[in-house]
Amino acid sequence: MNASDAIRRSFIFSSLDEEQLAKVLTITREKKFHKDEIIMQEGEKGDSMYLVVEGEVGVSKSLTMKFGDNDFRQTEKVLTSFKPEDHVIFGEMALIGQDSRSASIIARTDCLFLGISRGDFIKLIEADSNLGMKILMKLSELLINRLKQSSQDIIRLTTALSIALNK
Amino acid sequence: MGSDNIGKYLSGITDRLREIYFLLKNEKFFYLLFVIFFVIFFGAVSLFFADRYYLTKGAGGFFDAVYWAVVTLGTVGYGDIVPESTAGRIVAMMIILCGPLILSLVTASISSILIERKIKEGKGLEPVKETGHIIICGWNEHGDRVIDGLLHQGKGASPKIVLISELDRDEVQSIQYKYKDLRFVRGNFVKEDVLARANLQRAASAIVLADMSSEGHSIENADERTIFGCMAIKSMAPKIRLCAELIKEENREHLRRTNVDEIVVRGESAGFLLATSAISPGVTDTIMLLVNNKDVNKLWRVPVPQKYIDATFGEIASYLRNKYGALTLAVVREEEKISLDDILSDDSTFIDEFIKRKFEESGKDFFGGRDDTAVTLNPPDDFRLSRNDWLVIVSKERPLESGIIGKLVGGAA
Repeated sequence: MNASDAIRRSFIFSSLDEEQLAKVLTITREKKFHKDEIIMQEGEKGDSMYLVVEGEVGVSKSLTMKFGDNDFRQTEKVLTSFKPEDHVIFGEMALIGQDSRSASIIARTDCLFLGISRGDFIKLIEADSNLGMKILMKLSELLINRLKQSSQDIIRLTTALSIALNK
Repeated sequence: MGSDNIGKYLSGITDRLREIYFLLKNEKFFYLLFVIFFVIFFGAVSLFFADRYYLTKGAGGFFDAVYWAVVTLGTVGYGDIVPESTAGRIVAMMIILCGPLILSLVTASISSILIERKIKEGKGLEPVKETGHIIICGWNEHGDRVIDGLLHQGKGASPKIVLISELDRDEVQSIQYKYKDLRFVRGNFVKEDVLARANLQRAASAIVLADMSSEGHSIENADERTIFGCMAIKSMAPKIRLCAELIKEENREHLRRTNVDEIVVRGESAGFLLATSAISPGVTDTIMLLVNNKDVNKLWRVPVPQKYIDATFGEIASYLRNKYGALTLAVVREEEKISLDDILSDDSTFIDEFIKRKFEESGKDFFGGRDDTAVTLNPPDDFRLSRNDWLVIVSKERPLESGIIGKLVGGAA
């Protein structure tokens, strides 16, 4: 898969036409990571978004909070891995506002990424408002879906909690 | 045969040998053996060194002396070697006197081993192979009535009943004399191996009685044992229908936590019965007739006939009344319990996996147990029946028809 394919296939750029895609491609920067290198660390600040072009990445995310010495986080972790075919993007929340990373990403193999920094992204959407609107719509859709998913998760967790406590 | 099997076989043999060794040791068999060898050796040495051994007829070396001692001790006395000297004859007399004594001791110890084995192999220690049976755990003076109730509920197809208790042999025999098909497992029902011997995993239901089957069990600690027993039963077989008898009302909550399906507190209805009989004579008798195993009218639990699903209570009540002369008392509604899969989404996310894993890790059964039952006594005529409903009726015969096919012992009244 090449860089333009990766852009075309990813969800947030899926409504762009060829000309707009080419514009997006101009602000991307290729970035290589070696096997076992940490791409982002949960909780750290970050200001760019990544797309996987080549290689396999592992995502890990803590499911519990840290309480004093009682750190469940090492044991309560979710681990999934993604390949370029999954067309996943990482750190898209960093495009909207600077915030800490919500998951850690580690390169499982040598990887090639496309990175877009917030500065470049803001400049691009300010310059071309039609392009910006399309991307932001898709980005909102993504975030809405994620929010729905989270609400579902909360409901399942509270149900499970009440079952566990009612016994 | 794989090497594994051979290993198992060998370890089986060594276990067996060890068992025999301890049995013999228990009976002081080795001590006896030592005495026998001592007598033989003593006899042989005495004869050998006795005054003028050469006078002994047929005697050769020391081995002949040993041979003579064995033959004499064994009360065989071939007579091929005969002591002629006085000293030799004294030795002979001593051995002859010892002979029967020692032999009878050997016989006694062997026969006592055999008898003990016989008792152990006797009823109560063999694993039960029945399935779909009802297990009664513990025994007290009301045990007979429980078995009577179980046998009278299902006419035609008596349920298979297995009793677990620590009753002694005579008591068990007298119970088994009364109920021929009753299977017996001896042991403490709090222990999992005992429950496993009763094939608990494949039983239909279990009843835990306030246990007084052994002298060590007092009425004070009966509830404790009941609670422990219910915990063990529910942990081994979460789906089993479990009813338990309690002595003290205050223990109800503790027992409830073990996920038991039904709790009957002994004497809980006595107050009501006494008061009712004082104020409204006849009511108490009516109730007693209903719960009595002897009366012709019995309580039955029957499913709603197919064509009456979605009908009203009034319709089914008059139908059963006209056709079977049955009086419909109540509707039992079984509400399905939620399962873990009901909570989790179709496309399993990491949260689903987390929840699932956590429930599995806890090792407790949060979703087990039967469906909850809710009883509506004397519902209004327009009460709608549904698929999960059962009816409790009073009638002489169990109504049997194609629409009413039911488990015979679905619920003892």
